[in-house]
Amino acid sequence: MKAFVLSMVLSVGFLVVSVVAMRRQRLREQAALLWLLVSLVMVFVSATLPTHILDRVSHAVGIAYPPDLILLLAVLFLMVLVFHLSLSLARLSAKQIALVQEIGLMTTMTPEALGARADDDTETPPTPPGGAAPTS
Amino acid sequence: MLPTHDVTTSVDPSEAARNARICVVIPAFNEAGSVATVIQRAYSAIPEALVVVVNDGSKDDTAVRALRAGATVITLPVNLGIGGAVQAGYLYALRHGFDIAIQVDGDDQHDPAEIERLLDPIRTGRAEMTVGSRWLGRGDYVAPAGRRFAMRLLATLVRWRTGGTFTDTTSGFRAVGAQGIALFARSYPTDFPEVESLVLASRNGLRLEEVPVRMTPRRHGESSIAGIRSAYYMARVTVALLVGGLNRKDTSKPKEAS
Repeated sequence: MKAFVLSMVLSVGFLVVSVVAMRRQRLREQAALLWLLVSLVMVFVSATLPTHILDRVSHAVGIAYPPDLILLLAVLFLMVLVFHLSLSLARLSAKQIALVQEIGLMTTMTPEALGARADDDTETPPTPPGGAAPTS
Repeated sequence: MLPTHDVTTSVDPSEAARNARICVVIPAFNEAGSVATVIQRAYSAIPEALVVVVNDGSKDDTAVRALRAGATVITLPVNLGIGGAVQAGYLYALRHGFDIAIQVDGDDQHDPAEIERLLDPIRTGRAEMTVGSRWLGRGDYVAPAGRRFAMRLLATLVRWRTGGTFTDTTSGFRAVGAQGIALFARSYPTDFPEVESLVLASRNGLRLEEVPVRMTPRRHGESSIAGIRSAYYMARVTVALLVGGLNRKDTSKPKEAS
């Protein structure tokens, strides 16, 4: 009974947190849906603890120790999630590279711009293209 | 002294080839110590070219020194690494309608006087991409044994992947024609691009040719690939060559709506 109360508190708490995050638009729609589903599954599993549905399912699939079923599902879920995040990260990084390159191309500077600005530049005058001589 | 090139020994370049617009792309990350020298040597080797420095988020005054030396400077607000930086240069070349882009490292390892050797096969239409190799007899570049072994391994992998024989797959001293500019502007490997881009180019129908060039050991800064990183480099490049998406042609959407 203690386990039931504890897991109900935790899973309902997680449900509340994800709904609040969703309402405050801290999560994008896709992720919000995912976490809502996850928390509902957690609530379901907790709520059905007294009915021993977990034991029956795990025996049906040949898992002797019922909590292992939960662990297995949790590990699989996390693996898929991390892989998905890894894919998103690659996508984001590709977009970021394109944006950084675009910024670079928009702010391209030519030697003429330097000449117009640095009139007190006595150190090395800008060398016109083609007029440069090897230094060594 | 201006180098005398043996371009005359090859087929007489056509009028169009002689008027080709050429862009020298120099990726530079914290190369304030050497970038001006590289630019000056590039201009004296090939005065008709435009030298473009891609300042890859340098913390030093690479940009100012490059401008003072007469280069056009693309400053990336954050460091993208060699692949992203070089690709920015190819994007520039594509948008400004250059016919040939030459890639020269900003650390003064490559001798711009050798540029003409890279240009020749492209100008005469023998190849769409040329790669300068330090192992084909010119210069006296010597690499440590470990590095030589790694390079031989890479060459074997590249030969298996492309069917072409390359002696210097990690060379960043190269030139491409318009076809290669368009390809690399659209799609270019990110972290360790030299080896992968050979396969990418070959798979996309570019004819590649390796050209003997002189290279000098670096005088400033450190190689981006040293120590523990070289093991990582080998693992990454090997995996990319074995399982990377290089089997197929580049089908990604063009970055340019041209």
